[in-house]
Amino acid sequence: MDELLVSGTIALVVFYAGIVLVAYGIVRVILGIAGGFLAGNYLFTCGILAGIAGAVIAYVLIGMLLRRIEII
Amino acid sequence: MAHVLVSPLNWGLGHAARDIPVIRTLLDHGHEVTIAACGNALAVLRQEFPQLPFIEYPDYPVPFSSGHLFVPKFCASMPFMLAAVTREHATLDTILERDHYDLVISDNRLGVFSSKVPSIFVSHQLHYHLPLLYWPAELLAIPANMYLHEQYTRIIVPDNPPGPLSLAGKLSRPQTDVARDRAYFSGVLSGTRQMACTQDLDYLVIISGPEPQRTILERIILARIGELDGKGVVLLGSPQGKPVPVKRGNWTCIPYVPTNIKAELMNRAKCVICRSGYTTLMELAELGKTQALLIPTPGQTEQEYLSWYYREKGWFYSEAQDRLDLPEDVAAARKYKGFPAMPKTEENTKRLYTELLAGYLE
Repeated sequence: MDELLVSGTIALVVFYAGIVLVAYGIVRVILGIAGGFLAGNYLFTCGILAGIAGAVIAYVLIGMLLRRIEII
Repeated sequence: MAHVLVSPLNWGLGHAARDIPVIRTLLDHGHEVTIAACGNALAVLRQEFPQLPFIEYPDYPVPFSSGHLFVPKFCASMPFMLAAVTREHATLDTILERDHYDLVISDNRLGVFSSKVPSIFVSHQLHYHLPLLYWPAELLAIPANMYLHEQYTRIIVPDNPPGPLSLAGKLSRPQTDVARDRAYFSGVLSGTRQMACTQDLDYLVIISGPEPQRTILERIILARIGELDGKGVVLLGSPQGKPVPVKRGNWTCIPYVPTNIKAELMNRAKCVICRSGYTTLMELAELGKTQALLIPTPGQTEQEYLSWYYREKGWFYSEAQDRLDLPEDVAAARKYKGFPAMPKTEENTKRLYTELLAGYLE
């Protein structure tokens, strides 16, 4: 079989699996927030939201850092 | 005398256009060239080199989105791209079995390489730029690109080496040892030649790019050109339209012109208003234009990056299509200085042949 096809397929499978994993993580977090909120556990809900805010900030900062040091 | 297969990608005319000087150089040195392409790229090269043999060699459709969803749509189209590239690679084996070739030159066609014949890749994008939000994808593209670069003997980068004269900025920066070892920076390669003519046109507006963005830009431009002082020509980039010029005051609108007429108009223009496609920018560099207003196609991350990069360098002013205010932006564009002096295509192709191509052909 064509080496290009084999390596390309492996790369795509890994890439899409990564997307599915991230999407699953997002759904679980949303369910966690909704569950916590409905159960009246506001501290838990706020904790998750703060965690998300922190993760978003870290994500953007890492991206900016990679740009600054010209990795990307 | 060697036999070379030249195969440009048919995503716009840019790839075919920049291969014209390379083909001319090969022919000048007495080599035989066969062109393998499809669509408009094939049509342009047929018009330029009617005496050459051609092979109809299909590639794959452009995965550009009509709006700001380029990255998700591109991700979704990847399996289809992979299938098409694999087909393209298999077709090359058949082409190479039918005839003898000493060198394969692939202009951005990812499946056009061979383990039996030295293969050269032509690309100004050694690195893909994506919006900051998608930085992990940009990071992942580095090893993917490295794998592709490994398949080629050398890579011709139609740009000046990384540094103050680099026209593609980070796009042409080799990120891996594989790219660094293979990259040959040829400088500007443009099929458009400088002509001895007076600059009697105040403006040349070149409307191009995929639909519906082309039509949207056409509407925006035509609604405001009357507010600009001076004489100008608008090329609508619409090959379906009748090639009959329409006068609108000091302005002439032409649906479509052949490449030689477009080159003449570019030579005559004092200020060029156009998309920030890399080939157009190489044309501006080749012609030594100092005034241009760049309008990137929305959603095309490469054009958006190049517009930003030139503005940062102080070379050319740019504005997003949806924020375009023609009179104001043209006035702002006048304050920019254009590209610095750099070697032109004639000198670059001579050097390219001596330093790189001759090694495979003589």
